[in-house]
Amino acid sequence: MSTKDLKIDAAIKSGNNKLALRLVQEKIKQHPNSSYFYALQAQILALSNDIDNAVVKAKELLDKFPSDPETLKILISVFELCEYDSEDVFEKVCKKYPTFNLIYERFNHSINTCDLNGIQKSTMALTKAIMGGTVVDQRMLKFWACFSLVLVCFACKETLKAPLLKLYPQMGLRLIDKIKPANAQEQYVYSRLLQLAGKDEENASSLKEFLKKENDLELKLMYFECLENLGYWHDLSEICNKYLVELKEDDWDTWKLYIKASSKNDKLEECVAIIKSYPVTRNSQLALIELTKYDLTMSFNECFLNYVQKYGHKLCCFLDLKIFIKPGDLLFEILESEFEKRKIPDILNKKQNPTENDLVFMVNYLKFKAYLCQDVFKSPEFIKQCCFFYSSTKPLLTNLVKFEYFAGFEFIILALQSLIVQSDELSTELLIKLTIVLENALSKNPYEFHLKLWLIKLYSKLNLISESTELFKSLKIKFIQLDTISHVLNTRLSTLTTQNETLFTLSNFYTQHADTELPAMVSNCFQEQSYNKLQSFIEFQLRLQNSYTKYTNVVELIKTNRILDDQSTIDDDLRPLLKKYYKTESQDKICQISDNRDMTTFWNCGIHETIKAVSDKLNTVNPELTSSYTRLMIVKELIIYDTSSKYHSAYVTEFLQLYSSVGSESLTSLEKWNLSIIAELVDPTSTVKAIDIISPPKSTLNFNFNHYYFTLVDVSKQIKYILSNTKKGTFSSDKIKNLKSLATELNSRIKSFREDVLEFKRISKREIQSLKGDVSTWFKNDDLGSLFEIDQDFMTGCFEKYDNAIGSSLLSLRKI
Amino acid sequence: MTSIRPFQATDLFTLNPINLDPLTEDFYLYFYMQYLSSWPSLFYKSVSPSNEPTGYMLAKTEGKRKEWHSHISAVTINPNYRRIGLASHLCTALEKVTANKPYDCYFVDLFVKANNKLAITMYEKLGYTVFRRVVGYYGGVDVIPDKKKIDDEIDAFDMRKSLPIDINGECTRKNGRNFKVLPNDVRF
Repeated sequence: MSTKDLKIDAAIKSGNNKLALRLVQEKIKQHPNSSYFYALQAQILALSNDIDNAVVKAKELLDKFPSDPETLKILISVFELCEYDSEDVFEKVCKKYPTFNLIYERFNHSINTCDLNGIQKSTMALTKAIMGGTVVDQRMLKFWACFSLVLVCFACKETLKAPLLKLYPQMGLRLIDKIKPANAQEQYVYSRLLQLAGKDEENASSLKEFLKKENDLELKLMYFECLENLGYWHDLSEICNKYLVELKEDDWDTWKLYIKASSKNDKLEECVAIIKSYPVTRNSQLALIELTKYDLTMSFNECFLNYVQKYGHKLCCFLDLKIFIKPGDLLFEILESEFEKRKIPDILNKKQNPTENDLVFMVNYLKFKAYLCQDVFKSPEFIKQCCFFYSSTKPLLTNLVKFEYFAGFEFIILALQSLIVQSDELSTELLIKLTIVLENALSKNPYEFHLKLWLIKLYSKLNLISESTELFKSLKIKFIQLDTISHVLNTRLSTLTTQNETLFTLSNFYTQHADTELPAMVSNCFQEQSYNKLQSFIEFQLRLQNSYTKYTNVVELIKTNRILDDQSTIDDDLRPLLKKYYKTESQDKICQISDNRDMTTFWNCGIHETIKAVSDKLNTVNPELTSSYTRLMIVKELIIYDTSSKYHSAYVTEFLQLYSSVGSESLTSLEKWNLSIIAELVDPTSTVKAIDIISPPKSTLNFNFNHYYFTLVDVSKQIKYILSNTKKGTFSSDKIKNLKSLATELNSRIKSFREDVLEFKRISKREIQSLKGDVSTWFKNDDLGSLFEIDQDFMTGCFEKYDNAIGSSLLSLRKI
Repeated sequence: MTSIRPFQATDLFTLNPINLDPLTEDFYLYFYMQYLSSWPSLFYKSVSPSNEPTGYMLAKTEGKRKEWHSHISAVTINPNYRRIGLASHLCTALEKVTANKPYDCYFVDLFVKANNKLAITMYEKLGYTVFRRVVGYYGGVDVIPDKKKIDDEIDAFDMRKSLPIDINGECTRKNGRNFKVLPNDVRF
């Protein structure tokens, strides 16, 4: 039994390892038979950087097979801290003492660490464990073991040896040989095993029998898949017909399979008759279009027109048909004819008031137009058309009820995308025009989130980060959304402002929610025997544990803590995460870093895909982060903060490799400069030279303005840390001399910019005044600008807001 | 076009186009995970052909004897797929699932804000009727509910639809709007 000691804990937490070691030695004297304190002793030695001693003590203890789970967990952490590749601690002890309780601890530990092999081995061992009076549902344990075999076969298929891939499903089937699946979940496990064992026929007949008793969705899909794989077209056609007609399950995928099976079966005529006699629904009408792929006598254009006629006034129309068409298809005449038939010209000529249906048709019409011929984005006429459509349907904005959206916002997004395509560069003036148009649209359509996402991104490029932050808050983004969409605000946020709470909120999400809730939920899923959710639970846990955003946030937090001189947070909380990232990236394919960022919602309007010409231009300022960017940044931080690691020389090698290979389009000039300083310092060949410090940007209304000064401060602190924490002789005296002189120069620049902050304010005021004049003229007199119908008072209000926001950005500079 | 698919935990990464809507709540992770593990067949999504979720149904079963029922905790749709009957489609699917084995529920119910006329009309079209008014259900911790003080802004209607097993319609009632209960009375 472990006896925890609060004093020792407190000493470890405060970093007083000497005291902790003394206290633990006293405890060992008091409890010489308690393995826990011996493990703790090894851990304290590891934390004191006495690596060799720590490993010796830990190995000695492990060789005595301690059976206290807490002791074992500490031993695992000691080996990790010492970067020592030990044997599997739990496995070794469980072999010696195969009791239910100990193996169950191993099972839970494997869930906590998302160790699939550990889960598989422990669940299998649980079926044979010495129960010692513990009463457990043996049937459940067998299904746990079986499903864990499925999990390993699926997740480790690229790393697991071929004989094991063959053996595991057989082992599972043998384990439940005489047990008949009693419910949908057990049937699911059985079917997955049959699937992996290649017993498709047996699987099909087993699923067929089960589905007679219970119409389970998951099993139905497995049955369909099984019949399709077997090429049992007759059976597939019959079962699809049953679900579609008899059970009235109007499901698109079932329709598609039905058509495919009918075609293979030479029964297309029957299929056509069924579709035509079916109630008119989106699925059945799209089934007609799908049929044209198989029945060449049917006209695609007619079916396309039929759909547009029936659903052209529904927002899903474009998205439904998009999968059947491609850019360049000649379908525009069909759309034009419908455009005329619906009397849209009368609306545009103000002869008729638009209805909601008219508006949605017009939105779909422009989406099709832009998608079928993407060259329209290069034409000023297209911008005019978008504005004209927006203006003609604007009266509908007055009918909006609370929380309702106005679909016409899409005209604005399309117009702005076109405006970006037609501009030479992403200038401050262009960005200001875009934000004013978006703000105007948002003021009338306040719940539309695409408009907000666009504004958040554009404001960050304008150094108006308080505006971005306010909009981000208004979206009430939380929990999992933080992982997927916070990048719209958080990209390089640490170098824009000191008011960067979202970085901390995001960090808390991982530590307080993801890390603590998910293992318990995976365990609960086992207990509830919801096998058809388990694989996804574990994948979800792995993807959050190894989230790309989590690690980009670590990089941001390091910068912000370094700028604000919080070294202890870097040492205690962030450095371990850097090491974890490095280890994860170097591991097998199960544990790769997972990029969960949602890059699609931002583009889920207009033609519903990224427009490269727009995206490239947006990326010229504060570019999106890439995986190699993050790797480069993390390795750089490891070079600075993990100097005693046995991997340090590997960090240097990889850093120099990445430094020369990461494309300049994913780095800012300041980041390139920062990296070049580190590269020059660590390059053993002394061929890499640091880039000369670049001049400060002139415009305050630009991301690069705050980014420049924040990076200057950050680099000066990096140098300070390196100079005071690197062992003598690590770098040549010339390099140290260069670094010292750079530090002096940086300090003088930082001192002078701190004195200049008031002057920056004056510069920004002049800049805003001048931009206001130009932008106002554009909205008033320009052929295109005037079409956006921006009220002068509204524009003035925007500039007042920008003036305050830039004031807040400049104020941040005084805090660093 | 629509297919109904089982919801999986990893779908949570793809819900922004649905959950960024101001009326849709983004819940704690454990909330979703609890539904997935406890009622795996009652949490499902509608998907587009590219497998993107277009909406989802989050439901559970609860109650005893003739109160044994399925409860719709959330049903929500991506704005691009609204006004095409998708929410109704998801609700009908739940009725079909829970009316049959292994559930055999007596009715389906849901709570809706008393002032949400659009939703109430939709549910009425689907055959739901108001069973009772839950006074102060959406009032939060600061409001002490009082049956004498009805307020459409914070009151909920508990709406029910009998399933075939409730042959005599014993689980529903007429004039349910006038039958008032407090939030504590609706716990199962």
